[in-house]
Amino acid sequence: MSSFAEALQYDFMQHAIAASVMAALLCAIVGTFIVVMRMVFMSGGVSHSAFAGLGAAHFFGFNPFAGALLAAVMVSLVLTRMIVHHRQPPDAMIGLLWAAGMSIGVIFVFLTPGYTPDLMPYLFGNILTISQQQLLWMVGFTLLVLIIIAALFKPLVAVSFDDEFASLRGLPVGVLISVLMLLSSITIVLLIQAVGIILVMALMTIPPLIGLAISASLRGVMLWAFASGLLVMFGGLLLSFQLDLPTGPVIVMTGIALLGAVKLARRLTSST
Amino acid sequence: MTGAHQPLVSIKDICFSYGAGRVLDNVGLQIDQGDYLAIIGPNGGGKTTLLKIILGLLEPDSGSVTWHDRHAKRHIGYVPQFASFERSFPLCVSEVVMMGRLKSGRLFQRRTADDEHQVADILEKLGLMQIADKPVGELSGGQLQRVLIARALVTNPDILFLDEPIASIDQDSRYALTEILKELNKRIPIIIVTHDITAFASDVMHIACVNTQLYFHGDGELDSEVMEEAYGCPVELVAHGVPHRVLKQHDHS
Repeated sequence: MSSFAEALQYDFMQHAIAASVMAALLCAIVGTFIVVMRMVFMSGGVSHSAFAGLGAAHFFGFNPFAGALLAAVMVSLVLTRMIVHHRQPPDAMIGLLWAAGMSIGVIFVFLTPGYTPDLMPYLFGNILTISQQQLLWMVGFTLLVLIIIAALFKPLVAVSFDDEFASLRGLPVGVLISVLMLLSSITIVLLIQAVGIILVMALMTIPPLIGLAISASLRGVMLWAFASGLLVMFGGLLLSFQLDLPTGPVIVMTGIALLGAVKLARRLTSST
Repeated sequence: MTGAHQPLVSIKDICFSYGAGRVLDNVGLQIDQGDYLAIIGPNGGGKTTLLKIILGLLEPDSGSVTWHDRHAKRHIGYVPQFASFERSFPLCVSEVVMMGRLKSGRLFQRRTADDEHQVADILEKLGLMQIADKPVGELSGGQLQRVLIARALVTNPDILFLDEPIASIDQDSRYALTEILKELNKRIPIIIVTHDITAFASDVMHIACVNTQLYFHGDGELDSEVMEEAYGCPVELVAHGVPHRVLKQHDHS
């Protein structure tokens, strides 16, 4: 434990902790929308296709964050069009974009001269290597995402609950769904930098599921998701440090263990 | 405004396909002021699709929907199929009903004292006050349906559409619903989509039978030959209304 306390004095650990708070906050708010709207698979498609942008950015030598954001936004706009005009379910298209994004990304990474292809950092990230600049970007975008969601909270909830009714009420459903998808894309790309593609999916899903198991109100779900997100991030960070294992996978498994424990506790208390 | 046969909505030559499958083929229909119209037909016959086209939620491949009253078009009450309604959403009854007070065309919404008052009023009228704070996930079918009706009515609609309102609810709730609708129909036109006309048989003024094509559109007297053609098999017509209108035995060969 003393080694963890010592590590806390270093910049890299402080950055990791600040990034964890941002991640927990973003996932609690945006992740809850994604889970209740049943768009987890879609956000998986967006995060994996963002990898195409990351790979291209490496190859052409521009900012990987910008590359990933561009790819994620493009894919989410395509999928938004499909949802808003819902004539056909978008799941086949999601699968296609998912695979295409990963393939394009891997090809670009392999083509990049002098670059040893190692996909682990992209898939699981490394929260311990976040720079101060990345952290500032994260803080800025987190604030932006939270302000937009707070301002549009009621219509966003109405659209995610029942888009047809919202449309008959005269709400700009297409605009609202696009806003939600854009905010999700930004969140996903911010978090890929910190925690990698696989962990983004886990963080967007596990804390909201814990919140849903505990509370039946949307605000309650988001609060519990935030609390459990913090617990999962810090607990996973501490555990990975103690066990000398990669942080990403340990955080994922910590989250899954906590979700399992909460579900089990709910079952035991409801049956007695 | 109350002229019995004054057209409110004219639907002409509607065609609609999902991919290669034609769902609606040249369907035409008229909704009048004060109407009580039942759109019936077999499952998968395109009833809900037709309803969504009338509501403007789906664009037809061809054909037109003309609203003769612009005010009514902006004040549509809609009760979706509650049996397939998403229930896992963490919202309580009053929050769902409050969505009926969302203001048109605005991204930024504000709740007024009048909104609170109107929601409380409708919850009281539909006997939902006791469960106002209950999560929608814990409601029975009949309760959820009343919540969705409350959400539609709190919009103060000029016309009310209901999709399969009696599927999978108990007999008492059915009776309560038909009474509510009969009362409402004194003020506004009502359109129900249903595969089971019996509960409404004594109240509806017009019936439209849709199975890809429109097989019948007229007053409540149904002809078993038309029904047989529409459903593709012999249909037993039983009207529970008073007087009993059609009762006929068929061979199911």
